[in-house]
Amino acid sequence: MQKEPKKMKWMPILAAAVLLIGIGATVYVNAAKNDSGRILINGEQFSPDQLLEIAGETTLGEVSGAPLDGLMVAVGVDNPTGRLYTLIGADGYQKTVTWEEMANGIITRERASYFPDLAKAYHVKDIIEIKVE
Amino acid sequence: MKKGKLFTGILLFGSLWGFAECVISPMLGRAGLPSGAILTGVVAFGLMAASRVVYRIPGMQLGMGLVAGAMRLLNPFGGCHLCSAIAIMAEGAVFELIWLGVSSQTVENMPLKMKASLGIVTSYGVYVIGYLVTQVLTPVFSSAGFYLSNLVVFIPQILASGLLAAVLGGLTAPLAFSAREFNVSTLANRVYYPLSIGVSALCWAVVILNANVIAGL
Repeated sequence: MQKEPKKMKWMPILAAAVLLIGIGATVYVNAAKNDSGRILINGEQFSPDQLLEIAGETTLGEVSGAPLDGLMVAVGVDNPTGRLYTLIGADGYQKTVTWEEMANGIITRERASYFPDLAKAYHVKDIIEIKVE
Repeated sequence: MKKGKLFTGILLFGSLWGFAECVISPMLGRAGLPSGAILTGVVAFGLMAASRVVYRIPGMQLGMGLVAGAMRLLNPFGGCHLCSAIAIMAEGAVFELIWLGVSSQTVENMPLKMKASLGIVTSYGVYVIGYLVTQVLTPVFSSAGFYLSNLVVFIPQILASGLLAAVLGGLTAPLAFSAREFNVSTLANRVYYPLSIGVSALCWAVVILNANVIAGL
């Protein structure tokens, strides 16, 4: 029979706590998930096709979509240049960008953001809201 | 143990880890599998735990993380290479912190339940803290601003996605710890060095070739 080292006796309890945290968080995340397939901007809901109609379609590199700066102007954001924009995904993932970064970014028909000058961490998928702050 | 053997070991295990991150991880992702959790729970934890019980030298896993992270940074395909590289390097550092009080002898004397528990705690800690670190550092290194609110609202998702890594770490642990039977000191230099350096070079060559093929160069 193998011996259980004294100072490691708490390890199974810690492992059980870790599993409980993971399970609890999984339940919470799934319960909080909310994806209608539309995008909330400045208090209004839009479908991806509507965004392309409103702001037109442009291509950055090999990716096409609605230019984010033009979109903010088109949906009537007041003083758009002095604001911060938070792109929120259906899974809760979000990234905040400045107007300068919005000027070189697009939102695709698949509701994903694309910024060629920023890390891929800024490619938010399944966007459900663009919060103007 | 000779320093040369240790550094070659860091290069070998770090290269294997980096190879898995650059070549295997994108394949898993394309198959719709949670590649991050699988890579951390099986490959990263498995290689770090196995190398720790074989070489028995703290600090080695930090070096492995740096080697694997550097390889990931060279391969700009299959997701965010900057975030992944930061996460990998952070994972090596977190492993070192968690294992500060764990000696190779301790692992040797552990019953299966304890080994699995250590695997669960280590894999979850490495995955979750690595994820948090990359969420903070990626905006900084990519010259965009870091906003705490972006991180705070995403914490439940990070804690949830670590569950799979924890379970896989628990399953991988007994296998990884069984590597302690292998005594690297007894391996002849004429076998150890060419084999380690050869495998490492092969990993780097495949990753560089893979990156160039994908880029169409």
